[in-house]
Amino acid sequence: MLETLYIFVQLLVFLFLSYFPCNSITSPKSITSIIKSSYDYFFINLIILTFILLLFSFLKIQLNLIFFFLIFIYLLIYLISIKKITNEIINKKNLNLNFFFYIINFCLFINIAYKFELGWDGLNLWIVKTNIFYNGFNYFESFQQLDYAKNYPHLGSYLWAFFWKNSLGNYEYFGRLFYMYLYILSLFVLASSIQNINIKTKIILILIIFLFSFDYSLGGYQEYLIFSLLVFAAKLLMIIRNNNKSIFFDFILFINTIVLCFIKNECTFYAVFLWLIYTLIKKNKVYSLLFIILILITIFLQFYFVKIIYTANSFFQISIDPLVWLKNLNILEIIKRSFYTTFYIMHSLLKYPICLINFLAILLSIYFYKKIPENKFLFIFLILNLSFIFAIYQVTPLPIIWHLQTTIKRLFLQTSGFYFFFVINIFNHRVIKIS
Amino acid sequence: MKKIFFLKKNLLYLLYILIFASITSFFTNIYSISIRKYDERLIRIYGFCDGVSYGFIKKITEKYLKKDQNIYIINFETFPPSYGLFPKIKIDDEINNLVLLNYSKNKINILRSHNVDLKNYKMIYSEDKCYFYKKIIK
Repeated sequence: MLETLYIFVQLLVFLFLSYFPCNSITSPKSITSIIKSSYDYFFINLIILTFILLLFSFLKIQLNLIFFFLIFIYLLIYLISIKKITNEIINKKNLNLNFFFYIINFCLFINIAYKFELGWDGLNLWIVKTNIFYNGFNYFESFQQLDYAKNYPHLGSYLWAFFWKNSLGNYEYFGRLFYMYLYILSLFVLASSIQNINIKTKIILILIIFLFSFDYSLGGYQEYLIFSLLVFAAKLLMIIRNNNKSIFFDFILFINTIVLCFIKNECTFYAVFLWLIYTLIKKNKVYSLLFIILILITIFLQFYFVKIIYTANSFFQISIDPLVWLKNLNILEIIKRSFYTTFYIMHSLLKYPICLINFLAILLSIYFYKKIPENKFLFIFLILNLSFIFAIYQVTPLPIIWHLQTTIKRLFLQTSGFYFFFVINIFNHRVIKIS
Repeated sequence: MKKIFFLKKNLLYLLYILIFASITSFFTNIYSISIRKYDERLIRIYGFCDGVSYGFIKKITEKYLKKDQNIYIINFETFPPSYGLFPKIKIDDEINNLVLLNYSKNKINILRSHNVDLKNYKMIYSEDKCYFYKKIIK
């Protein structure tokens, strides 16, 4: 029973960290007037938190000390306007949905506590990296501790180690609960993005997205972390598109993108896609330039440390020799690989029904292209991502079928939250009405 | 009257919660967590001497490797490496402490691929198909 209590405390810690530093009391009016749901504050705060933890991961500071430092700072913010914030937390508005948010998280946490089996990569890669941070090493020291997997980014493992170390239970899975918390939060962000539907419909929608996207076999994988961060990125792009004045959301998108780059290698590509979309939406050359400079610095620093200082075999999981690739290039091979890739894309649509829903929504969005202008940036992401996927499987030196079977489903799953905005836009534009 | 109205209003929410609780096997999980300790659950998931063999390695580290937590693990079946389950354990590059999991004499080539000759080792402990060897210091 004690373990259940510890899990509950872990949930409370996540909730506390989600309330600060931004909420309807502490934020200026320019921000509060734009943010409609409390989950939007939550995700903004968690992006800030993960960015702070990213910075700490480069320093030699114990995880416990970082935790107490953060709690201290957040408590200070809380104490400044304790009455107002307490009233806000227990506000009756949306109480049912908030209550459901706590319950759904708790149920899932308990589920993880019993079925905490790690998937292949979870056990082979991610927990090995996590153990290094758990044992008190920082980003730079982690390379010396690793014999392999040096080229895998570290932030997901660092977050895992951070919440594992700072949990009452002190079991490995306590750290991973943070991934699930972010994932559930992203589902609530998705549901809250649909306008003019009541709470009951929102809850049904959340249940459906959960059932259609959750996979127990991905224990320890980073896919749900990427899923959540891409949902947050899409939401921020929506906000920036509709409200061009406040630069606060631009700043949050920048740090969200930097955080994304430190989760997994393919996210560096997603970062460039997000920059391209941002450039088209914002049309402000200075911010756009700043954004791409930040992304390039992030990629360059990762490359510098991984490849040059700590001499990993390659920057990405697969190393591609362009000369060998060009030598083996022929039309038959390209057609064969394209065919297999298309086949396994279809296969992954059936593996995760959320991808199938997105696919149908994309078809509908193409039909109603002119009616829904917001879909433009989603289409750009879709085209770039599909090109990226086809390109990977054209150049991979690994056996093509094995590579497709083991990876493509997850590539689609992690971006499915982003594409779910096609569904949201269809509902918001009343192309389809739901009561 | 008020109570009935409150119940009617919130019945659907309760139903949603129950649906989600049943999807995630909430009540079964709560019961299982309360009767089975974490270590027991780890063994049920990762096996004692099958699969990743968490139980066997745990026993070895507690019994024989209290100070020196460096071991070299060879699994004869196709499973991910077990090192990740033990934050304190390091890979023993010199292969002084050798653990063989799911050992099978038919797959002796696997030992060769790791440059291991069992003649140089003394068996310390074994259980089922799992063995713990220490290198003989000459």
